[in-house]
Amino acid sequence: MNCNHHHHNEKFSRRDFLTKTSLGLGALTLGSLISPARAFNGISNFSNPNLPPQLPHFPAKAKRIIYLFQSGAPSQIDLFDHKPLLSKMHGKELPPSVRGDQRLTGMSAGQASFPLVSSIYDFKQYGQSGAWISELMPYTSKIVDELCFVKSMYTEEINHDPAVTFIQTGSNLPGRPSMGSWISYGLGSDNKNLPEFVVLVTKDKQGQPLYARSWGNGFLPSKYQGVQFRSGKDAVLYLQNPPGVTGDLRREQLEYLKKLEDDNYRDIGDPEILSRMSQYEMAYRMQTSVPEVMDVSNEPDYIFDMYGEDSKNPGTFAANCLLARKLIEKDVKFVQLYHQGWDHHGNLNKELKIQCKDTDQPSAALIMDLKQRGLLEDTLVIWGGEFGRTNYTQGNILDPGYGRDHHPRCFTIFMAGAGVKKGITYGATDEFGYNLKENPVHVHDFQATILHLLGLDHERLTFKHQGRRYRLTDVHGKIVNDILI
Amino acid sequence: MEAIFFLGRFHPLLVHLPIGFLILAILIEIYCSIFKIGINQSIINFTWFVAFFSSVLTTILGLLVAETGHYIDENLFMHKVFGLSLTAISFISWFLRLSIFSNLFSTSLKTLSNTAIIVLLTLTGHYGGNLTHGETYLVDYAPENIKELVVKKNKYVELEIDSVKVYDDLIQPIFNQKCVSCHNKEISRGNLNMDSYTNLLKGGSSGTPVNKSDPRKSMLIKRITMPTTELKYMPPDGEPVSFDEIKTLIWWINNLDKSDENLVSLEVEDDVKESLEMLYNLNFSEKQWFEKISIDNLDESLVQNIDSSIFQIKYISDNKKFLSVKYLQKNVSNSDVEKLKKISKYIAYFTAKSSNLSNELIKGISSFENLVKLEIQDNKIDDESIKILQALDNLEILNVHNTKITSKSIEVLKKFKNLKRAYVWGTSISRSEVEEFNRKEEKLKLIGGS
Repeated sequence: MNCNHHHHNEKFSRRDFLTKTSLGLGALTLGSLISPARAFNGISNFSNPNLPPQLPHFPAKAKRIIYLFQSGAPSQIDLFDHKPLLSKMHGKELPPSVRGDQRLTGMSAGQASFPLVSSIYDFKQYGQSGAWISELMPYTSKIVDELCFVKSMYTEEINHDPAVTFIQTGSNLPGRPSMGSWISYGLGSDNKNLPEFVVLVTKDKQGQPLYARSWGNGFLPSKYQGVQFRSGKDAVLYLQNPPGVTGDLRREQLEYLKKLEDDNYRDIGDPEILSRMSQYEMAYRMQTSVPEVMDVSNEPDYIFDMYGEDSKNPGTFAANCLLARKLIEKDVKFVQLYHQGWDHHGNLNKELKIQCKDTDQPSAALIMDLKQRGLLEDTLVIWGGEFGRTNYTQGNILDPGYGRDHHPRCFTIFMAGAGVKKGITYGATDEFGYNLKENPVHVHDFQATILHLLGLDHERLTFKHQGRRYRLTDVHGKIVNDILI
Repeated sequence: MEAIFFLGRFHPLLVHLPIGFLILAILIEIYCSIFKIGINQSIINFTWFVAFFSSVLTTILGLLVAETGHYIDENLFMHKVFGLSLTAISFISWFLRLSIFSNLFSTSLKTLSNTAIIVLLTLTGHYGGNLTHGETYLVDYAPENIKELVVKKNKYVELEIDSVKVYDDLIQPIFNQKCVSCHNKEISRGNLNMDSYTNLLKGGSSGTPVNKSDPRKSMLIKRITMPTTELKYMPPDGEPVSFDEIKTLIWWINNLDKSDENLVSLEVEDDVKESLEMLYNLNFSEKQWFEKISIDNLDESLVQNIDSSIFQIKYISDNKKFLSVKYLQKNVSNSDVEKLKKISKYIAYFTAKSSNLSNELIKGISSFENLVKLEIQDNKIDDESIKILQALDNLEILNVHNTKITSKSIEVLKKFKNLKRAYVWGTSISRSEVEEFNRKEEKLKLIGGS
């Protein structure tokens, strides 16, 4: 029994010993041949490939990110990607030559016909940049000159869960770290009292489920995972001291726990012990910092007016947008909002209106609020979903409750702020709004670009796991230089 | 002429004979003296003779090949001098060993001349190799730190886009690499001298090389883009002019009148940008001040000495030079700012939100010479503070929202040398004042207003 116990407690396995010493010695000899002074730097890098860089590879344009994730895939055809041809061909069949070999989801694969359907909503050009926006987004249309639209996003995934997992973690299979975790691993914290990566989910929304792996740490140490702030009384669960426990007592407890765990770490060397300890410490500091940041009572009325009436109701998208600004002001690195309910297989026209009412005003308000505070200078705001929707109907076109099915070949996102050109539209789809016509941007390209804006080289930000070094962009990703300042 | 070129090109082939014979002759002598073996002197003399004879032959061919003008004189010079000396010394070595003079030639003298031969041989060979293979051939794959010692900084890298002259920095280097060896002052084939803008435009026997109205029809472009098998194709040997170089040349002819100007004053199309990036490693993306200057390395201990609960100090990039500094407490004091004095020139970003800044402290901040971004919103600073900050020549972004500055500051902000954006929301400056200012002003934008 004891013997087994010891076996598990070994700090280094035989394999660890061999790889570390042989590589280490190799590095030492080579290093000292070339430059004796460097010999010992060399060995420390070799022995731990997973040391977080904690600083940008090159000067960053963006220091923080707010990702307004529209889960369920908003219909680009009804919101951004204006296609006059569709109104001419309304009700006609999607030409097979346009569809090519695109696979279909189980939901419309059985459909006998794929009638093209134009948007019932009116499109106009706005601002000096002349961006096309649907009437569903009256607030966004006012700020188009601040925005950078990418109309040529595409993905390989055709169903929600793999597609969300793909855009959030760089792989369609669960298990990889999310974008926010990579960033927090790569850059470290700018505010020791709050987590680097905070997640806010709109309350009471129906639709495709969201899994915590979208903000999970994957194989990175768990201290890099996103921390979800909830609406309501306790933003972070179990943060308050239980009745009868004072702050001092909690401090004392933590000190003792630290002593125990330090011993434990010296014995076992499991990095998760350090992670856990840093999380205890973070939780302790968050006992004061979180209530402070969640408190919106000091916000003047005109700010609430800007974000819309919902913003006074905690847990709504509008309230979360306001919170996102407050978190960014406190130098949280990555704030990710999730807003579900965009998956309009049916009742597209009615549902879209509701969704846009929820999100249009607060999204635009957030961008302008950041701008006036000078925060847009080094904060990037991203708005978008996991894929697009088809240009043909799901269901009978004569039934007013028709919808649109999933479409991976093109979708639109927009960005605003740090390092991104404003008032531009990048990429284009063909006149059917089905295939890409110019400047395709793959999900990995998008991820590479985001990391680049933060001063991280997506090819150098790696973590060694199961024998190989992993990246957010796997072995892909090309920075979209054309949209960068 | 053709016959001369034909023979001349045997120089690199023949050159290996004298090298071999000279080394052989020296080795035989060393061998004999070490093992005290007597060898018939006439055999040794014969070896020296063939060594001398082949060097003369090689030298003649070498002089012929130099005539072709394919090589740039200054590169050729050392090779020529060493080569001639080597031939001379090989003659002396052979001649003095002839039995009649052999008593003049003591052992120590022999050792001396043999050493000289080895040294000359190495040098001549090295300079010759540089001519045919290029100067960096030998060390292209050497370990980095050896390379650093040997290779001079390549002219093609680290050009700063603001100071790049169109012709001098982008066009002439292409000619120097590909054309000038045959088209210079001494050897101006086709009567064309390409060593400078004025000489080039004078043209040669076939007329002017550039055609402004239709760059593709320019003689220059035609000659470098015709099939390589054509007799008139340029350059007749060596590396052809590359795609990116051709693209750059056409772009230049299109902008011929601006040859003298800085690159930044020209509109550059995206595809030309790509070519220039490839050729010269130019970076067209907007750079911040601190990315454009060089500064000595920061002593990290200076940073470690600063209390991390007062200032959060982070490197801006992994070259670990410039810093982003954030004040973490509520009441910034003189002694706090004093602590930053030693690292002040490394501070590129400085943030001190709601921290009761006073004008005295602002004075301290105004000495951060390389400051690019300053965020001092939510402080009680006023118009006086803005005047003090005017000393920051490199400041690009200033955030003073929620402060007591008034419209008096607008004129002062205009005088900042490099300021691009100033955030004035929540001050007494009104929205209409901001709008009016932005309409008139190109360089500086105000953001906000109440």
